[in-house]
Amino acid sequence: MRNQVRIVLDVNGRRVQRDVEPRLLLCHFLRDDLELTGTHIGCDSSQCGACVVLVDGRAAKSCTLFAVQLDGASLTTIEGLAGDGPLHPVQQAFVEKHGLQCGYCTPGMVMTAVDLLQRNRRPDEAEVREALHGNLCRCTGYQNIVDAIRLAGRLMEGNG
Amino acid sequence: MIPAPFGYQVATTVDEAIARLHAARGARILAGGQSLIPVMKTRRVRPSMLVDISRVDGLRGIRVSAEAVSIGPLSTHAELESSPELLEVLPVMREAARVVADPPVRNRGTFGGSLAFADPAGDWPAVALALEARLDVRGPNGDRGIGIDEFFLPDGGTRLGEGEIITSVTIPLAPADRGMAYLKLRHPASGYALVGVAAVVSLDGEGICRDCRIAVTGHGTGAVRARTAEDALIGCRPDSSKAATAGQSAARELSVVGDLYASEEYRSGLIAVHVDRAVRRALERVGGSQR
Amino acid sequence: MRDLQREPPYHRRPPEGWISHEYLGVGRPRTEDERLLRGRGCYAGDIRLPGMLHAGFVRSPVGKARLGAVAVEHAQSQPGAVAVFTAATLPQLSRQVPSAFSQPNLEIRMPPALASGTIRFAGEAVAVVVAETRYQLADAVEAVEFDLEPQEPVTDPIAARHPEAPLVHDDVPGNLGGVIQAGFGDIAGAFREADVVIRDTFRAERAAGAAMEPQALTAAPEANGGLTLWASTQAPHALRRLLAQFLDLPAELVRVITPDVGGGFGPKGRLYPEQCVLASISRALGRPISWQASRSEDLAITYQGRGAVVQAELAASKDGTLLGLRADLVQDCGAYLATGLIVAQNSAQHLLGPYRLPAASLQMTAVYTNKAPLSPLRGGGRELGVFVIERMIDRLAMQTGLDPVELRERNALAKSDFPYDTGYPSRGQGTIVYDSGDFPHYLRRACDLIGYREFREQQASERSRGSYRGIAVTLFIESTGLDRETAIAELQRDGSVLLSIGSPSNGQSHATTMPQIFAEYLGLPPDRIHYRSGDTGVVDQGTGTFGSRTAVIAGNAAAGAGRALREQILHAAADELEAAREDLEIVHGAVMVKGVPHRSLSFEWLAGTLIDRGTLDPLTAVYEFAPPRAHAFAGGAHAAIIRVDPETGLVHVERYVVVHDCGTVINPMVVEGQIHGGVAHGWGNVAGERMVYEPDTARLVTDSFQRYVMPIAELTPRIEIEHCEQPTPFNPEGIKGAGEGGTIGALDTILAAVEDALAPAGIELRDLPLNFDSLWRYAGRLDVARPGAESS
Repeated sequence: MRNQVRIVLDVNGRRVQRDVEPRLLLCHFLRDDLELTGTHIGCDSSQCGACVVLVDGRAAKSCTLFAVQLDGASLTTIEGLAGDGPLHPVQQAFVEKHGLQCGYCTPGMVMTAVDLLQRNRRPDEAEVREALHGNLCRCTGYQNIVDAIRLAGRLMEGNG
Repeated sequence: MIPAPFGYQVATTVDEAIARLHAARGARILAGGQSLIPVMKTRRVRPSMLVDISRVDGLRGIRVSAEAVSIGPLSTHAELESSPELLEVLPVMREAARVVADPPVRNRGTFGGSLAFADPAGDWPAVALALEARLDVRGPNGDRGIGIDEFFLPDGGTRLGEGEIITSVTIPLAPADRGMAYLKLRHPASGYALVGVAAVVSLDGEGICRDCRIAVTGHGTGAVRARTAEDALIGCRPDSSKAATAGQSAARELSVVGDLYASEEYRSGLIAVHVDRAVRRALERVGGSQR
Repeated sequence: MRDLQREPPYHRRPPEGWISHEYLGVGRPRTEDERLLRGRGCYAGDIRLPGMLHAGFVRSPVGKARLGAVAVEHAQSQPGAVAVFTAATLPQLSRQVPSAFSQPNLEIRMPPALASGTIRFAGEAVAVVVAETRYQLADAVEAVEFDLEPQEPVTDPIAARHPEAPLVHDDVPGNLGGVIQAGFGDIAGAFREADVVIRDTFRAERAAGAAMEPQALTAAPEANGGLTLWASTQAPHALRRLLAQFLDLPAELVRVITPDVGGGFGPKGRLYPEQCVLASISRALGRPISWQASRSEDLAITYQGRGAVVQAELAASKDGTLLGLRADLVQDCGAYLATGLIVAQNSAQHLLGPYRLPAASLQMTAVYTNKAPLSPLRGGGRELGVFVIERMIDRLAMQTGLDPVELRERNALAKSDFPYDTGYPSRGQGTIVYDSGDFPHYLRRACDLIGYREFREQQASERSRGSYRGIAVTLFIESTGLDRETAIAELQRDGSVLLSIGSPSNGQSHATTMPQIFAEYLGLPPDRIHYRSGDTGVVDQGTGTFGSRTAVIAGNAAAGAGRALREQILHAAADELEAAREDLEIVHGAVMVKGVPHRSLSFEWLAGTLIDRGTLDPLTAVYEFAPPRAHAFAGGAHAAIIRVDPETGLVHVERYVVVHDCGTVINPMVVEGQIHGGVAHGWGNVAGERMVYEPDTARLVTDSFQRYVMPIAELTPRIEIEHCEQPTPFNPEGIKGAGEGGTIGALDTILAAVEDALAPAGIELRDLPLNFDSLWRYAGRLDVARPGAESS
């Protein structure tokens, strides 16, 4: 058996312990080992952002991290953002503004947006578009995504 | 795209990391991994072992003194982007950090990692050159310092030796009449620098340029200083025509590689424009407003 | 000219009128969203089955070679490796992929499922490896060794026609896949009479679909000898039929389910060799097998769009009236003619534009090259036709001194011109007839919205200040809709309805829009209508989602099913209420005697009663919409203001306007999303998307997003949209498609605006994508002080 490393981490509020190969990418750990298939893989050059999750509260590309690096970390995937409860303001805003079509880039878009809005509740259009440099979408042309993210910031401030 | 298998160890001190690197042939450092992991996924690079230094004490943090800023190599691009101390004394660091890759990559990728990886189109090497950074390095043979002008090799790569780790990056601070800028034209596909120009200009009381450092990245085999461009500015009172001259000099001086996106001639033209614009922006910021 | 009045007239609304006017035309939020936003989507790569294995392909890096021995022993001995197949070891895999088309004039060569003997494009698979886990698979794939003897390839369609050019197929001389000609009117006369003749040649590079979800497929064998597949596809029924053919199975034994699909755009509407391989080996091993292409794999092997050279000649009178058009289109078809010449035929037809054109003579040539095969891709070829005619009109404007907008207005079809028989032969029977529209109106609206007149008035002074911005206003027309569709509506016990349609969704919001239109007829809110699609086991017929057809055809099918189910419910209720059918009406999910509210039954009561009684028929309506005229013509105008940086040649879109007619709008929010995405895709095609192959080896250079330029948020323009509904008389609901108009109208709009910005430099643009290097050189001729510019 190839060398395995034990990792213990928090995923969506649940403690998870596994023995994994060092080369196991976080995106595969989430999708295959934990069956959290909401995180998607859209490229192999760390560009498309479909795989973005929150690691210790900050957005990170799960395709460009090994699971072993996350020992002791706290992860939130798209499934964990709202759990079974009401949608997060970012998710609500995406519904209201028609910010998704095929939904494949969406989990990563949402997580990048959550990260952005944590730091800046009122980004202007240019700031949002820059923040999406690492998130590609082929369906929407980005416009409604940008509007959704700005709306989400207002919702998070309680300003609707 | 899945990497070839490798062993994995976590180091908690610099000396432990060096020892582990030394002990395993083909071992490499893993810091943020944002440059290393993508190439490992193509299998073009197959380290036998990764020594994870992300938990090593003493490699983070930004310390500002009167003379210098000392930056821990494990500082992420995001930390540099959001550091208020850094913004106050070296605003060009934020200007550059904001355009490195994208936010998720910035949350994990490290300053020291970028310098050590020395991607030919990376941003930090040009900024470090323009700021006259100095690297503290530790290896199997002990500690040494490397000035940034000696750090990058002419045809790519660095003078970092086998088993050596950057332990600190020090950037000297200068009197207030210094203006700095980093201007980047992104490659339309990769997002790396098609052209990146870091310019730092110092003027004396009469508005004469006393010192000037201009570094360019993205054009060839790695970031270099455009010395003839610097010479065009030093000793005179710079204005926009001098900035344009500096741009032309840089374009003539630098050895440029053409590719799918930009011929050599076009790239040279872009260098001229961006050196001109970066110098003018740096001049606007001398002695005060760093906006 | 056919007498169109003798065809059955379609009413804009059914004779009895709408039941409610609450759902159609409303920007309702989507039903799909919550599930997808919570990460509960299920894409083909998310399927997990007991005993499932993983498959991966070993591929040729070069585009032309003799394939020698494939050595699999090392791979087979890797940990977790289950099997390695080649065309030699599983002979079924040397069979050709069945063609979906039969175009008799073409020399159609189809790919084998796995290569044997000859490699014809970079990425062709030489072996398939099956392993227990994804990671074991990667190691085993790497362990397969094979011999290649590279040969001289041909990567350019014009060069491929040269007598000395290497042959892609030894038995296809001149790499000539075939020629199709079409035309009408007195073309010779048109050119004789002409005061002006414009000639030009245009070139569009190949582009990738690059849907965010790379291709994926999971196949599972069934106990009855059949197969179930979950495919990231646009056309499950075609996939079923063709796979069954490949496997020598009756189609009833093959079931294709379309899960969530992360974008299709055209290339996912084809049958791929990989799909044939997966199906075969799943049966051979008796195990479910999953395949997900990596991005670099997807870029290499997913069929590509665009890629043509068009020589055009336009004859006009000196006042700008169009007299005739000749065009010669050479289509780069890649190594196999997997989609016949439909792309070029779409291009040719759309060269007519929305204009009065008395004569045309068009030729389309299919050429083989050592590249991935061609597929329709957002626009399906129409975008190139529209691009060329719009470019030619711009040229005509320059030649005659007329304003390009005025020139368009002079020739564009106005409301009173419709229905307009173009005279151009239809691929089915008869001629292409445009249904409805008002192109001068779209043009005027676009000009008003973008501020065309004001912009022109100040453009000269702007230029004198060293600011270079350009403006363009263009027209587009788009044939939408195709073939037929069946909708099945079943009243459920709880009074809700299950609406099933065969063609799948790839993100175009069908689960929201189809219930909206159905709801109008049933008088039941859309959230009480559950939608499913894309499963050949549920609805036996489905043409697929492409060609902007779903709203047109499935929308009408859903409407028809709504009407049919309404009638059935009313009749069943009439019995229960002992009232006459004419005295009943439906109000919000209940049947009521008109004017007597207490005499009513809810759908739930009716459904429960009938189910308990065992009379199921009244609860199911099956409606097939198979119109004699399936094509409805969407159209509109695009306008853009673009700034060019004269020092760098780079461009920035400052404003972008679309005036859009897709007939009856089901959900304006959804239509706008389609336009945003369509324009963004067109922007990508102009601003940098191109697939590049190395000429000496036919190796794919643009094999990742590091090299293939994709539209990003920072650079994609914001689109302002005005809807202009000109319902089509060709279907009862008046619907035209909306999926591709954004792309079709964007190509010339952006190029023309850039050309206009640099007009003082004498630039003429004719190729896609833009070459910024070249723009920079042109800009160097402008009277702008440029740092680094050598004086010449």
